[in-house]
Amino acid sequence: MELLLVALSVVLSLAGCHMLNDNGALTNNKNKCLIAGAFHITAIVLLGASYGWVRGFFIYLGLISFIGMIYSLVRFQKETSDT
Amino acid sequence: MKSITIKKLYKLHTWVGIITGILLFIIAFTGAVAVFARPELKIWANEEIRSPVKTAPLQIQQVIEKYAQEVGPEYQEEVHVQLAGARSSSTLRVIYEGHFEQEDGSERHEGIVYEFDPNTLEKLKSTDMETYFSEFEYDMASFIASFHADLHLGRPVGLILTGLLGLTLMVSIVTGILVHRKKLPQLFTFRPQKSFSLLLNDGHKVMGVWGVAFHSILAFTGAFLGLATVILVPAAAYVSFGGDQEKLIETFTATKAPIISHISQPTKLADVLEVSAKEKPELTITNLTVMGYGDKNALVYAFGSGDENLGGQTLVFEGATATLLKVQSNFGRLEGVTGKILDAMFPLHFGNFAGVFVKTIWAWLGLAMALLPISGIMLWIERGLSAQHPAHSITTYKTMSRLLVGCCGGIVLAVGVLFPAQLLLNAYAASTNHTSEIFTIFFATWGVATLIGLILPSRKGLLILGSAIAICLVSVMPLDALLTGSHLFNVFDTGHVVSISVDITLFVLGALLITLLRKQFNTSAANSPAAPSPSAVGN
Repeated sequence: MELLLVALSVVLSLAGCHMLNDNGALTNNKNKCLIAGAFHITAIVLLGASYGWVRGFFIYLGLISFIGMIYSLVRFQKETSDT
Repeated sequence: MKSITIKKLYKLHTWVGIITGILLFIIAFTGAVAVFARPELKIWANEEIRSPVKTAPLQIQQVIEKYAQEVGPEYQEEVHVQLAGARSSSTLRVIYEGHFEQEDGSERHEGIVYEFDPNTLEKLKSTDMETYFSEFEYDMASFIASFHADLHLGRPVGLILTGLLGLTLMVSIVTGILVHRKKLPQLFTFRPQKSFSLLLNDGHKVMGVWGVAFHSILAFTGAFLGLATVILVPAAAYVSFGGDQEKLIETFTATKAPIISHISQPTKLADVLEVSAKEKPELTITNLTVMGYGDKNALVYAFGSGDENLGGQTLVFEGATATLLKVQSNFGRLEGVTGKILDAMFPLHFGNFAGVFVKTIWAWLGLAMALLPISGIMLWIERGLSAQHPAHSITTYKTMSRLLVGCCGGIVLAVGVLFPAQLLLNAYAASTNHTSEIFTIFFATWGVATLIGLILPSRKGLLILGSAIAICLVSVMPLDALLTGSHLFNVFDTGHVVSISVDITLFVLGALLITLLRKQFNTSAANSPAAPSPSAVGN
């Protein structure tokens, strides 16, 4: 169960990052920002439910740093394959 | 913000990065490896604890009782037990400690240290406490963890240096945010194939912006852990305890001595371990401290980690009855949030508060932190070499480039070499202390690699060092199978899950590095006649 919640929070964090991305920059679209915010908050809640609130929050900080970095670094391949 | 202020901040950001960048890489890279030092690499480096240690608590109690009688009552004021395999010990280690009053009224702590085989509990050796701590035996896991903490420069110099580096990292983070604040929204932009300069620029920005919260936590906790014991504790002791640091530590840490009744009653350590496992099954008990061993009023402190709390937990027992009195955090005697913050420092720095998944994230982000100053310095070199009127001579930029390759590639190689070296030392010098060999191998490799980096052109140096690192990593798995007989195909028989996982991880990392080097250098070679690789300008 814990593994499932963690996997779901990873997916939500990734989806949250994707929603915030507007062609390489942070999106100005408020709806997208709200949806992304909801995804991230849900990810925090899921991690909090799995690990406890304090640990869950710090795991989220690590996770979002890692996912954001990887998402930004690998996304360039998509650009090159599209062109 | 005024542009002149931004310019000053930019200069500060650049120079702090250039001055501390290589050192920061060294600390961050070894930190990323040190995340796994305890217990994963400790288990990997010590064959005797590769299989799960299954010693019955009663056997441990009997051994401690037997040697308590041997050392006599004067050494039973405090008994410290480090359980094998659980965290940082490859043996069951028991310290019998006594306090002796000196002629001048002060107290002298003396102790006898026993080490036992983790499985048979056969006595391996005994020594006095002073000798034991002054001649600490390192394996590669404890060597890397210790190198990350103080660069093996000794304490307090090493700790102050790493603590100050945490502070300079905080300066870099703050100035970086202020200088690049307009670029912060472009946090998804990464254009590696447009130009080398853009690759560095975007990479530096992506790693910096996404990792800013994480890096700030690491910088703060690192600065605290480095400076706490050498500056903060003495300062607090000077202010509140007349300079008596021991009294300050006794006041704030979890272990409190009981009032000795002088009525003998056995301390039920086996029951303490069993009750701990029953009451807190999620907690891994790593150490026990008995205050007043064998006395009716003895208190037993069982230290563990792994439950829902960020920091470690201490279970306090009545020694004679094994009754659980209370559960507290390690700094639980501090009121308010102070204790909680102090408890959080170590786990937050090393990411060892929620299993291997979190440790892996911490390690990758540690590597990203190591790459931040390097990408910054490379950007500075690249811009200097491309400028029409560079601020420094071409030789300065080229020397910096070579130093970067030698020092940083060298530290990675030195860490990589320790893996096969540890296996060979275990196989061919099993009964001896490996400390001097590990120090020699590490620093000699680092020195030679730095020289290679300084002598050869940057690209050639990078290729040689990168290949050497990859060979070291890839060789670990077959070498382990050959020398210890432990491999993937007999993992269910041996139970060496942790060590095999380490072998596989190193093999995969080595293979990835080979692929990356082949791709990078083949592409560059193919492109070189028309458009020389930008990194080649650093030659």
